[in-house]
Amino acid sequence: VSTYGVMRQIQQWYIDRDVSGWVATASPAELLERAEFPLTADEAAALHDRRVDLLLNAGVHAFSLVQLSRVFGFDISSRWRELGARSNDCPTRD
Amino acid sequence: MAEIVGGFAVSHSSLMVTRPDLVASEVAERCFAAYEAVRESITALRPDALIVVGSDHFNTFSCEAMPQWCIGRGNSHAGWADNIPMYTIPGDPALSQELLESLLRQGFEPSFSDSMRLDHSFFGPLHFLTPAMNVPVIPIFQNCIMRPFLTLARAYALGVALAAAITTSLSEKRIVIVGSGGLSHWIGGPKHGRLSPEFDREFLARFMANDVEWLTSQTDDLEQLAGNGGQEIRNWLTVRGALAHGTAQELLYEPAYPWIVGVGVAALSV
Repeated sequence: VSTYGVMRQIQQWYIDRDVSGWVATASPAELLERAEFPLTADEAAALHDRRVDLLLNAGVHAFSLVQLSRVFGFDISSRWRELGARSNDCPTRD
Repeated sequence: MAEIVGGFAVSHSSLMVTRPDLVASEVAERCFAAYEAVRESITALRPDALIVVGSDHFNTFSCEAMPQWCIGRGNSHAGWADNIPMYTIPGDPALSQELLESLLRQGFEPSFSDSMRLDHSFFGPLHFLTPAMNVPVIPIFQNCIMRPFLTLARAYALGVALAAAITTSLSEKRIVIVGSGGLSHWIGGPKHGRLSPEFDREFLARFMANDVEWLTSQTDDLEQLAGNGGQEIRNWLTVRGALAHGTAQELLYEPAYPWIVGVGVAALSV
């Protein structure tokens, strides 16, 4: 798994987010086509589907997932809960 | 001879800068009062430069090159506007060069960069501490983000070496050292948002007492105890090492869950 490519691509989108508004609504094929760093089809699908669990398990750093959430416009706590993180893993309030 | 005239250790959070409304107003007031107290202290110390020991969040560094340390040597350092305003701050290349040369003589081999940009690890605290962005900064990136990490003992030792380096400077500058990071927080993963006030209070007590053995004894357990963001306590340890003989005072501890950080603020005397 080319976690390097995934992390660098997320970083690039995060840096260029003012000009990359297309990312959040792109299809996996469009993500692959316009990616500047190496991505596989599975990785593009995982990015498209906001599968932070798959990406983390593949070695993508948790900080990169925060960047991903900002680029793609989703709440990362909510996403983890949707994906089945135990509720007691996510105490976000006193 | 240059001299360290004071030191501070503070937490950072981009949300603290851009979303003060997320926390209860009394929590925000306590936090901002502590940062304001540090700002006033720094102003009173009349520093010619700040050494800021901070980290990064895959804005400046990524997998193609991850130094354990990188010292900024530029005439200025720009930010990333990573969920905070865009800032640029002057550097002090001559002092950076002196520090680099001394560190090399002392057995430390940091990277250096004339174009190192700084994310909210640096500009988050500076937003509060030097809002005019007019005090030259020597930024020191310390790897707190990606394994393998330098040991906590080495982070502390860097501070000791920086203090020695400053005493060998040919300038007569007054230097304030600031560590940015921690305390506990889990960021990005399935435990995103978790804090550990228990760890933070223990850490702060040991930090104030300069309990070097305890402070540097955390190893692989650190991430279990304090989260991936807890790795940033290295930046506190560097400041503690730089002012190893000084006293430290806790100005604030606040587990600010909506900001996703256990906010600590400490002042160290010479």
